[in-house]
Amino acid sequence: MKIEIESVKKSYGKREILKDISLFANEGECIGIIGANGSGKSTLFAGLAGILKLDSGRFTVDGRDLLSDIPSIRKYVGYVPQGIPLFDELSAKDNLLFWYSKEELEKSLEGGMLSSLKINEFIDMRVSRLSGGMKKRLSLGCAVSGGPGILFMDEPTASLDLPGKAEVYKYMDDFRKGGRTVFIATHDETEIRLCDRCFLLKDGKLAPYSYAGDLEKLVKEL
Amino acid sequence: MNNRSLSYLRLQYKRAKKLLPGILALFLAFFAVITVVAVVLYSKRDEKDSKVRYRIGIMGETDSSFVEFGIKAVENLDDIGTALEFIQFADEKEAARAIDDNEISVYIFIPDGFIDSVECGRNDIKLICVAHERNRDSIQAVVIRELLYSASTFLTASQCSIFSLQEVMEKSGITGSFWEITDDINLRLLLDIVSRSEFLKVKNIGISGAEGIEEYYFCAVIVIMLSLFSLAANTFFVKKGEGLERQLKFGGVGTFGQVLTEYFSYFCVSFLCLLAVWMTALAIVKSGINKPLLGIFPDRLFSADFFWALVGAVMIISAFQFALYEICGAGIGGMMIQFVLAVFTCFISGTFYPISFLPDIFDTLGTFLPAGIGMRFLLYSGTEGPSGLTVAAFFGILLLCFGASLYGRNKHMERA
Repeated sequence: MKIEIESVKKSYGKREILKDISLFANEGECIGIIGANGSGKSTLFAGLAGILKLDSGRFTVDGRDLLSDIPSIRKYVGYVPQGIPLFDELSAKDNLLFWYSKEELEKSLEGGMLSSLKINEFIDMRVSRLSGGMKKRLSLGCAVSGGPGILFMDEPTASLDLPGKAEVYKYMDDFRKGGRTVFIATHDETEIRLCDRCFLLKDGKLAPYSYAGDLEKLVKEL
Repeated sequence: MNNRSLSYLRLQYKRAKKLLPGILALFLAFFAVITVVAVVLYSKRDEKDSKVRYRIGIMGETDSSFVEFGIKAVENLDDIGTALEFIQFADEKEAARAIDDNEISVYIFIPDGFIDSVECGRNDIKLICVAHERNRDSIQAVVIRELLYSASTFLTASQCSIFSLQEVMEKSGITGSFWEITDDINLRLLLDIVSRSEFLKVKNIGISGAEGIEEYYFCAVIVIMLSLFSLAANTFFVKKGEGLERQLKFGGVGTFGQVLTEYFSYFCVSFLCLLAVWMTALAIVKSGINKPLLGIFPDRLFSADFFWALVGAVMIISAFQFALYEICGAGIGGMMIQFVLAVFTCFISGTFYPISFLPDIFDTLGTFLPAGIGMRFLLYSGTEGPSGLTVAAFFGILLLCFGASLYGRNKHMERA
């Protein structure tokens, strides 16, 4: 699977958020987009997931431009926004049933993506009673309902405790093992270390970034 | 609406089922408190009414011996079973407040020149009788009856005096022009009284379209409950800052679908809660538990017209609160703005105090405010119905609110 992002641009009024962003990714890679708050990481992911309209640019998978066919994006892409996008007062199952049909849900819980997230452990529990890690696993489960080969995760472990973070990292590993690609937007040092390649998004421009373990330097460059 | 939006609607239905009992309990508790307060106030008013049947305010050109004599005459000659007591007021505001507080049933304004008009036998300046809508008919009848009774008493006495004078003059052998003069006096007196047949002009203040203050405040309570409802029902909306809007859009539910679905579920829950309140009021009335309650919930409030007016009121007020929530957000600042705006629009629309006691500009503004439109729908249902302007404002404001909600959601989606 060949993933290419070409000349992506996005402005809000006169303010250019993304200036000619281009990159490519290979199967099974983990790509990190590093940047300070407000640098445009979330805008880039939301644009590539078809949620925000980009001013221009292409996002191709094996030569097919997904941005010209927004409804088909979910077949290729999974998207996990910041926060916990779930309905607290409903059960985990009710939340999943918005994304899966009954049959799909049963199948996925038995041996699909949801089984690797171990959602069966809390399927009937109310979301408000779940731990942070469980909620994140559930939102991941919702995001991958279309069986995508690419996963965009916007600050995936923000506000999670250590066990919660470990659960997310494990899932990211499992996802990549199947030859699928993960993009994460982050400014977390641990997540940066997990990435195969990193890019620094600053002043709307994207540049390759190699993290050598110097946190002080990273902070200055953000 | 696509399949994803329908799935979202199903999901909202599940949420509504979970959240409805709590919200309903809140509504009914609020309604119960209001009802208890109303019953207590109503009972007190009944006690006051039984002691003094009619207290009448009087103001204007009262410093005339003619008026003083008239007041004493009406008070003293009253023997038709209606107790009348006159209270003098310095200005109209004070008198209007006394009507609203039920201290007086009506006030009579004697315009400048009225006395001259009577003395000169003209019929150009009339008394103005200001009555509350609830007392309009009964007060008009009582005042006319009392005044006519007094007038006829005086007339009879006057005629008797004139006839006695004629008799004495005849016995004394006085003839000639005296007879013509006394006949003239008598005829003139009769003509003056008869020609002033429309001596009283009744002006209504307070609540037009409704039967009385009880109905007015029943409608007002509905509008206030709806306006404040959004503060208690935020969970019906997408949680701000959690990325749910983006996730839903990614799932195929666009901004339009999200706003429409959420508004629809919000409307349904609001309406169900009000319906429960409405049915409870109806059950209380039908059970005949307590007489004062019958006054608080008159029959008109349980008609089909009122039901449809309720639908319209819930639609417009919910749309406004929804748009406010969408634009202001769920933070403390946003909630404060919503609360202040809800209270402010309710006040301008006359929910706390009858609109006719407020400056005219409030009435005009109220026509274009959701709370005011809701009030007009409820008040005029079953009578003349809302005006064409109110109906046009209803659709205009509804579209405006929906547009504002879409705009707010799009902006939020971009910022999230």
